[in-house]
Amino acid sequence: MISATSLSADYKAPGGKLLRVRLRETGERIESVKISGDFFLIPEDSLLKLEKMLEDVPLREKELKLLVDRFFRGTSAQGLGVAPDDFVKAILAAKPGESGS
Amino acid sequence: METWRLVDLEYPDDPFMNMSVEEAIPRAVGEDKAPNTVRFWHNSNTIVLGCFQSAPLEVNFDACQETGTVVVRRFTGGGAVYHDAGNLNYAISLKKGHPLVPDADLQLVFRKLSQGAVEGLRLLGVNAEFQPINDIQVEGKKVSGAAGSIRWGAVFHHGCILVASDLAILGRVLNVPQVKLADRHVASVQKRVTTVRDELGRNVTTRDVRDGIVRGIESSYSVRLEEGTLTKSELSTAKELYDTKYSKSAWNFEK
Repeated sequence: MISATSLSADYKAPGGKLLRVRLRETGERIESVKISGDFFLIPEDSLLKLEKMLEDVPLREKELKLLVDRFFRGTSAQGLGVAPDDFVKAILAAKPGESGS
Repeated sequence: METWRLVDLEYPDDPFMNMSVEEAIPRAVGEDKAPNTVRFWHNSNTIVLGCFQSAPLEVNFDACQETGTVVVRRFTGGGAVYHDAGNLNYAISLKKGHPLVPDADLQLVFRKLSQGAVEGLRLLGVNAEFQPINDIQVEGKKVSGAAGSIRWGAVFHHGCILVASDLAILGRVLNVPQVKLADRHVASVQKRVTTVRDELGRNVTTRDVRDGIVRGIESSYSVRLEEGTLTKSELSTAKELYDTKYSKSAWNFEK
């Protein structure tokens, strides 16, 4: 049985806002993730949807990018102070050996 | 000339009720149950968290206990702010599609709806300017932050202006992440913010600033502000929001 690992990172979007990621990883996949920070995202309740969509997604750039792009394309969500790619970078920053910038 | 309602309803010792009223107004404006509205209000010592922020990460609870600071979460994004009696809050609720902000663009909301406050501060002699994304600055120091949303059929913008706030408490009760301070090349939160009082070098009251912003809004947007009150329906909505949302730990702390 593979045990879950708790990971976290703070990532500051260039010229923008802060994303704080706390996630549980099992077998290099996201078990659950909480994204917080001082960014803007409307509609506000879409963040919960993104967090839900990220569950069971491999903790790898390609898969995360596809998922986040699908979220923004498929919803009317509008970020301010954070670009879609910043969500990907913030989540990846939580991986051991990676660091937020 | 367009007339907007001017409301001074506040509950300085009840930040949960203040936030309930804050949400009840744009809901009513969006449903055509109330006119476009500007509200001014104060909180006693309170941290107001952005809706996406984690309370345990942002708040120094020990310092809150020592200073009698209460924590409430708002319904808009953005960062945590510290309120006290020296801090003036203003909120603008417009029907969605208002010609001032015709597009559903949050950056446009901040830029346009900060202008009244910027103009009000300039009328008082403060060299204020809007600083994207959501700040008003004086000589590179933040004097006001804003947040907002487009929902419930309304465009909503609110901001807090540091008039004569206690910046020492502000620096204690909020945990500002190192990654954020490093980005701004300053060592502490106190060093990157200022107050209207410090900028003017004289005593100024939040009432002076409120009156200046009323004039700033009227001249910036070519509107007339007419003093009014909340409708029974708005007060009823606020009471319901108080009971079900803003007075609840689940809303304020569980993120």
